Amino acid sequence: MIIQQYKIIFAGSMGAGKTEAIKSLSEIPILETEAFNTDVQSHQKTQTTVGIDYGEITLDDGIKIGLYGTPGQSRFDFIWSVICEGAIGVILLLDHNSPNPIEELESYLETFKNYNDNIAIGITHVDENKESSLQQYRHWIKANGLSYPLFFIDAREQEQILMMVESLIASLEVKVGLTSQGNDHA
Amino acid sequence: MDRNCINIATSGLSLKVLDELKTLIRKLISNEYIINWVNISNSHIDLLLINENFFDSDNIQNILQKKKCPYLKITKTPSQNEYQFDEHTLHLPLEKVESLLDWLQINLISYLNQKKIALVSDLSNESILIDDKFIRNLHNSENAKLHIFDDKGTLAIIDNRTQMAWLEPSRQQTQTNQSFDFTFAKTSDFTKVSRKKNYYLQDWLWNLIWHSKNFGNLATEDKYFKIDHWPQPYQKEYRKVSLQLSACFIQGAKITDVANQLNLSIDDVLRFVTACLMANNGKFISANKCAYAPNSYLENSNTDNHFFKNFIGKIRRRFGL
Repeated sequence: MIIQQYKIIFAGSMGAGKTEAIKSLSEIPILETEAFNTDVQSHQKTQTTVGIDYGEITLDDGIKIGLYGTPGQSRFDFIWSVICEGAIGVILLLDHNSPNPIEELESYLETFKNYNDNIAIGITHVDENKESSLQQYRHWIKANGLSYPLFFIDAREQEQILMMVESLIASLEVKVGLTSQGNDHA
Repeated sequence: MDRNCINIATSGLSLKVLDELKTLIRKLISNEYIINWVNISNSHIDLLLINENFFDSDNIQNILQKKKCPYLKITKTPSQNEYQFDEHTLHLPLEKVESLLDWLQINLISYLNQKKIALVSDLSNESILIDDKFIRNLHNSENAKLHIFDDKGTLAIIDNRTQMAWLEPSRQQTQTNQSFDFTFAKTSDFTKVSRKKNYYLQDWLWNLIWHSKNFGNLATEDKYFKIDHWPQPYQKEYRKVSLQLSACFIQGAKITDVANQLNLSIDDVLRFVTACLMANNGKFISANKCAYAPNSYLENSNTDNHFFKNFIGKIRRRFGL
C-alpha cells in the first residue's frame, strides 16, 4: 500500500459514497478493493470496500497528497489508525438512509477523533429519505458541544466534496493563524 | 397596478416548462421590475405565455381582445429559423437566450414604457422591523408553514416542523432586503413555489441573507458571537470567506477580532452574523465564553508558519479553492 506523507482520509458508513468522493477528486484511476458485502443488515450494497481505496492529487511542486478511503465495515477498523496518522483531516461520510445514522455518527466520531480531530462530516443520500429529519444531525452536534462542520452533500458532486476539503483547510488556517493580514480572499 | 410590476399570466404550460420560463425571464428582466405570476383571470395582464395548441381557443382569443397585451406562444415543434422565434412563437428548447431577451425588449419592455411605468421603485416605506421577536416568530415550530416574501414577491414557503423550504423557481439565486416578511401560508401560495426540490431551511435562509448586501445589519461590531453549526454555502464564489468565518465563530469570537484576522470589512462580518441570526444559528455571548484566539500558536514560529502557509496555498491552488 502507498503511504503518502500528506493525505486526506475518507471514512464513514458503508454505501455513504467514500469511493465516489475520492473518484471525484483523484487525478489517477483509483485503486479499488471491492468484494462481496457480507453485512447485508447494515447495507444492501452488494459490493463494498474491503481494503483501502487510494487516489491521489499532485501539487504544483510535485508533492502528492494521498486520498484514502477506509473500509466501511468495523471489522477492518485496525487499518484506520495506520492511515490517519499525520493526515490533513478526515472527511466523515454518513448515509442518511442508515437505520441509526446518529449512532453511526457518534461511533465514527468517537473513533476518529482519537486519530485526527480535524473532521468534516457529510450526510449523503438526503434526497432518498425525505421522511427522516435532517435537523437531528445538527441538534446532536450542538447538544454534544461539538464544532465540526456538518453538511448535506451528494458525494458524486466534485464541488460538494471540495467544499468539505475546504472546510478542513479553513479549520487549519484559523487554528494556526494563517488567515491574518495579507491573506488573499479573492 | 403597482409601479414597476409586470403581471405575467400563463396558460396550458407544463410545470417543467413553466419553471424554466420563470427562471429565465426573471434573469432577463431587470430587477427594477417586480414580476408577478398571475392567474389568467387577473384583471391586469402585461404578458400572456400560452401553449400554442390553445392559442386559437375562444377563451384565449377573448382575453387577448379585451386586454390587448403582448403574448408569446410556446411550442416544442422545431423552429424554421436559427433564432427560435417566429414573430410571437417561441420554439423550445431555447438555445439562444438572446432571442428571448430581444423579444422581451421589443414586445414587453417597450410596451410597458409606453404605458409610462415608473422605472424607479421607492421601497423606503416598506421596511419591516426585523428584531429578536420577528426572528423567534419566523422560527417558531407552532408556525408550521409560512409564506416568505419581500417587495419582489414570493421567496419561498417554509415548514418549521420539518425545517424545509420550497422556493419560488425564479428566485433560487436571489437577494432580498428589509422588506423581507412572512405570513401564514395560504393554499394559493403553494402554487407559487416548486416542490421538486427541498431546501434545508436554516441553510437556505443563511445563504439568502448572506447574499443580500442591502439587508440591514442586526449586529454591532463590539459584540461577541458564537454559531451553533457551520452554515453550508451554496455558491463557490463566497465559500472561502464564509468557511473561514465559520471556523472562527464556531469557537465564539469577537466580531472585530475576526474582521482583523481575516482581513475583511466589518460590514462583511456583520452580514455573516446577521445571516446566522436570521437562520436561527447562534447567539451573542459574553467575552469569557469566546475560545477564538487570533494569531494562535504559529505566531512566533516563522519557519513553520511559512512552510504551512505555502503548503496550504498549494492545496488551494490545486483545487481552485
